[in-house]
Amino acid sequence: MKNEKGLTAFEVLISISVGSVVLMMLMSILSTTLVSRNYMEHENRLLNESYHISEYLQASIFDLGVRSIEEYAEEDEDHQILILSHEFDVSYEEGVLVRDYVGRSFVLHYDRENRSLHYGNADHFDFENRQFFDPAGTRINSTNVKVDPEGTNIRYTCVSQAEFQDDLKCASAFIELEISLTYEFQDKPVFQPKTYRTTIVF
Amino acid sequence: MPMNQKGLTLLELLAIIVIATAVLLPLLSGFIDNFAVNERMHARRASSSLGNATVESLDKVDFNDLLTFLGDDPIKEIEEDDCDGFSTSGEEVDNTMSSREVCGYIFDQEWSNVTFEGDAFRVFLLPYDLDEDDLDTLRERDDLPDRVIDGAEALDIPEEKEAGSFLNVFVWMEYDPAVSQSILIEGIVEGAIDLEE
Repeated sequence: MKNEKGLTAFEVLISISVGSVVLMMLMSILSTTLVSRNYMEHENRLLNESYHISEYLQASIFDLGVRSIEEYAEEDEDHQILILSHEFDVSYEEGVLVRDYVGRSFVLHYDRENRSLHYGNADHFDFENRQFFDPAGTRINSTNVKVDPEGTNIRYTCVSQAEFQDDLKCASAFIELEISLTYEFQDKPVFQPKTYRTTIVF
Repeated sequence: MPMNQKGLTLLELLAIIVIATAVLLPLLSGFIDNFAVNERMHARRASSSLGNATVESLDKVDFNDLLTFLGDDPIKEIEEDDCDGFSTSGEEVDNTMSSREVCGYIFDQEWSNVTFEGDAFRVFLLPYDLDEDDLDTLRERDDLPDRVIDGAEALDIPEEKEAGSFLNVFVWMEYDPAVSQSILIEGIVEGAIDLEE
């Protein structure tokens, strides 16, 4: 025969208290796990973005065969513009190697106002308004990852200079990218920005 | 039917805990392994970019400095301190770096915050016209990583020694010392070529 006595109020209270403590512990473990998982995902996301930016720029510089670099509008607080030029092709004429000057230049534009990085043909860049005619098509960073001005620093150290059609320009450099990235969800940052440093040589 | 109202004995409870731990532990270690693999892949990805940047940087060093440094050796490792032996000409000119400064930069490079230091990052210079005797010398050296010797053996051996206007560069990086995972990036640096305007 079953024991048909119920629980006393005291027993119910004890059960609820013990249950609450166990549930609270489980909830805190679950919450910590979720936060850690989100943090890891966020870190991975930003790391991949950093790789994408660095590798994209390195490949673009290599593809273009960059021979000179110069900064445009140094005094502008909202924009940083680097002009990377191929300057010349090498051709073979009458037994000697000669420079065949071509006008292929690309622009690396850091738009501090919109917190985005752009790279594209200099012919498609509006130098007066300081932006590409097609900003979305030239943006390197993803739409929901912003390049934070605080902590971002793009500079180059010139290794050697050379004359191109009577213009003395920096002909070889270490480009140092210090990029602070923030992942945003619904226009709000998720976690703190992370800063990545990369050196590109040409 | 009356239910079994006996609880568990302490021994039974302990047995359950031990079994549960034995099941959970491999799962947890698999989880931790994932972190290690992720970290290793991150370092490997960065190492190839750093290796290529190193070859590119050495191409900016005065070729005569590299030739003098290598001398008649079949292989020579460039360490950070060796940069002090490279020429300083150019330091006094604005926007120009000397070979010494360029060499120093090689050992300060970063790729998405990844850096390689000390024994995990080794840069070697080899003559372009490495011959069989040189290879025998390399094989006898036990301080060289196996991949470096394999890389040297895979180079094309010219039939005759030529005056060098090229040098081979090997960059060896151990991106995970715990499991001896390494990468070898090979490249060539050349002396200046004169172009007509």
